[in-house]
Amino acid sequence: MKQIKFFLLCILCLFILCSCEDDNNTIFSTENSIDLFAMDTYMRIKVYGEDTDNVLNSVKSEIITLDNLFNVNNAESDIYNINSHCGDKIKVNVDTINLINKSIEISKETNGALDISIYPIVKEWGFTTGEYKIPDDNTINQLLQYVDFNKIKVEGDRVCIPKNSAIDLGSVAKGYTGDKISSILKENGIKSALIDLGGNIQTIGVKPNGDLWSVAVKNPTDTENYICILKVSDKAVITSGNYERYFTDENGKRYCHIMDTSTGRPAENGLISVTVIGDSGVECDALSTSLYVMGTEKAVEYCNAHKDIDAIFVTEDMKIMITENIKNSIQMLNGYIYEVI
Amino acid sequence: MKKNKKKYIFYICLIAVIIVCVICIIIQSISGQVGKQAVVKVDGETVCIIDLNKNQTVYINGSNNIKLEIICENNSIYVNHSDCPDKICEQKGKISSTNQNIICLPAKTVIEIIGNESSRGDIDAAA
Repeated sequence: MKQIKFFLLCILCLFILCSCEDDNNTIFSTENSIDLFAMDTYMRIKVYGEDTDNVLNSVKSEIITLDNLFNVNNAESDIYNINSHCGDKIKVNVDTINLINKSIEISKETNGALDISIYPIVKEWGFTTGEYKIPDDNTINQLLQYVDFNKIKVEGDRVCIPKNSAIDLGSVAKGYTGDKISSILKENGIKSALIDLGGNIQTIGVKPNGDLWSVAVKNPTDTENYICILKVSDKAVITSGNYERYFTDENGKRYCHIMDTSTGRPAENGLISVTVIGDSGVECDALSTSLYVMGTEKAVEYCNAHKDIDAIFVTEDMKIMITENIKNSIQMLNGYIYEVI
Repeated sequence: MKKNKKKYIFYICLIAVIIVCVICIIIQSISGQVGKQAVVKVDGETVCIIDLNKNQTVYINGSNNIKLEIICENNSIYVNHSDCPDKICEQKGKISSTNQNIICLPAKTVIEIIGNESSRGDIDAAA
């Protein structure tokens, strides 16, 4: 009898040992992924299910199509066409119309903190070419007169911008693309997926093992480390930070690519990173930029007035503030603590 | 006699179970060691896999005719030189943990360390 017990114990040990393998091996559906460079970033889309090659090919085509429509430097794109024919009513694709309309809507809601007509300023600072420079006050003031989202006219499938103006959808394009990818995946029966468009994260369902997705928020002062983890499902998690694209002058001062639409200079209003969590990628994308531009005081005020917005703010002095709703889905890391606004 | 036979079968089974257990442990430990590799992808296509256990210099032809000199030493990897205009890949410095990557956007090149043990724990993505 003792021997049988011992034998059963051995079998149990063997079973435990085998089940100690990596969690990934317990996945009950097949993982498939694509990665590509588009929209000036590195993208990776991971899906779980059976026979997912076709749906991933559709996703890839959609990304390339949208990139070709929105890319401000592509002579074939809708945006290039609009910018190079100021004053003319230019016929564009329905996705371009949708995104411009959405951007104008959020610009109005945020009182111009987001403005897709900021492009002439961004270009002057060299963020489009990598040839960075600090423009003088006269140049900035002169260019600022062309920055006004109210002057972008959309009539049916045509868009018209004033002379000397230019638009860029860089602050909203990835969010919009994430939403389109999510729709394609869901329409094709995908129930679990992770969309990473250069740090713009969108999740579908939960992980194949039933757990919520763990999306970390980067530490803006050390992007290899994180300040917290968010446990989410079917959510977009999008951050705007001063670490994404910037240059430094001879004194080490950092100039980031997020422009303050009221000054024509990189936004320096107390925040170094804003993460927005929500159902819509395009709204999270637009709001993360808008709240960053608004700065600490106005962004907190805005979130208090719009209780449906879930956000994490990191200030210059590394104070972390979160909105009430995400208290239960956040797990702080590395000793950081948060304050609920 | 019957009792001895039972005993004999029991010991055979016991030895078999022990052997299987030992094999499992060996396989697991070996696969853990093999983990330190870096995959280099250009425009989504894998162009080479670099063994991090071996000190070496690898030259990659990225997109847009951009060449990268990648150095692997002491189980870490970095871009020593790139013809790209922004040099962000060079500035990234050395990486050595699983799932860490170096991205050169102009060259559409990604160098990513793969392996079983993730430095990011159970983190699925970072925003």
